[in-house]
Amino acid sequence: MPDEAGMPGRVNPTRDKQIERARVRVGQVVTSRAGRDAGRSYLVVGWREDGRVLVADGESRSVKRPKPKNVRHLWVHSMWYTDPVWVADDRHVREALARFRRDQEAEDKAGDAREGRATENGTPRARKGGERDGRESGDD
Amino acid sequence: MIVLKTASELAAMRRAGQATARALARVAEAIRPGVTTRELDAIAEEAIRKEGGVPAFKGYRGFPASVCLSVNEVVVHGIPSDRRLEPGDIISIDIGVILEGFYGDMARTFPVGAISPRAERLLAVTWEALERGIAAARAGSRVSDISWAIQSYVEAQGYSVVKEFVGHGIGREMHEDPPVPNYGRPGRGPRLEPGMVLAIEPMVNEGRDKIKVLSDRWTAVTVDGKLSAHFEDTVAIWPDRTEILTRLPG
Repeated sequence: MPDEAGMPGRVNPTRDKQIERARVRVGQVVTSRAGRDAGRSYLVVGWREDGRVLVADGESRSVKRPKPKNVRHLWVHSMWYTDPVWVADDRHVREALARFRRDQEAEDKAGDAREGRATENGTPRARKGGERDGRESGDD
Repeated sequence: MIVLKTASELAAMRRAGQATARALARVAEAIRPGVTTRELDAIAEEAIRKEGGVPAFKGYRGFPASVCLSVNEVVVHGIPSDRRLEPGDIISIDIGVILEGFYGDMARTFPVGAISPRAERLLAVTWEALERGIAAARAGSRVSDISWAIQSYVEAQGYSVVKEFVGHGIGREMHEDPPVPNYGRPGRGPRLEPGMVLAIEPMVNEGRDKIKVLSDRWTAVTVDGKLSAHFEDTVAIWPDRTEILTRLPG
């Protein structure tokens, strides 16, 4: 079933923001897809009034000094790696992200063997490393 | 917001896609002159439930049936009714299944009995447009590369693409980001990443691209009353290839 096309410039940006806000939740793992940190993974720790997501990795970005990111510049991963109540602690953030990375590597190795499809090696996942040309122009 | 799927989530989406394809095949078998679209809808719902799934469209934003059945000049979102199919009609079946929490979504347009050569050609072009759209959906390319592949081919054949409705990301929700329009110049929009799942769905009009939505607030028809066709598949982007989740092997 096709979706209705959005009007150019979006019909209702406030409503769109509310929807995106409802979908990205505190405690979820996200990967940056634009900006100088493209490819880095973070945990969502909160929201700013301007609608941007606050993200932290417990290292370069602590939970005290989270990085604001536009939701549209993030990949959101569907698996959960921590209880949202723990995101106030940098150590827990680091541990959750470590679990996430371990899972990603394990998926790389085992993913398709487990599905019994030997032909499918390699697992879809966010590309690692700064891929600068992934940036969308005029989005921010 | 684009949601990337893990390999095991993609495996679940593959099961949902295959169930969708099997259910659609059941409905297709029942297409013949004299059958009503309401009867086809009942067959669809039964087939979907037999697969262990739930009809994804039923109640979606208030849609009153299990599948969208769009005859002739109806572009998409046709509501099943007591309309009887006649020889020479074309009918689009758009079917969605929720299985294990994931959506499968696909559409095909079928001939009813013998159809005119011009209807035949419209179906062939729309099918080829879908194939070209899928061929353009590769990790590393961009969303509008799909759009361009579809639009440039369709317009070169003398037809037009519908702009008011678009393909879409799909996963735990039927309509996820990114939107996948069937028009637009290439090299724009989000880059396609491994783990993305898209519903690619060209809607092709024989005449002009203008459509209107009837007073039931669903049924979209061509303004000029000419035929419209619709083909759709759900595809998953892998690092080295693109898997069509809604096609049965063989």
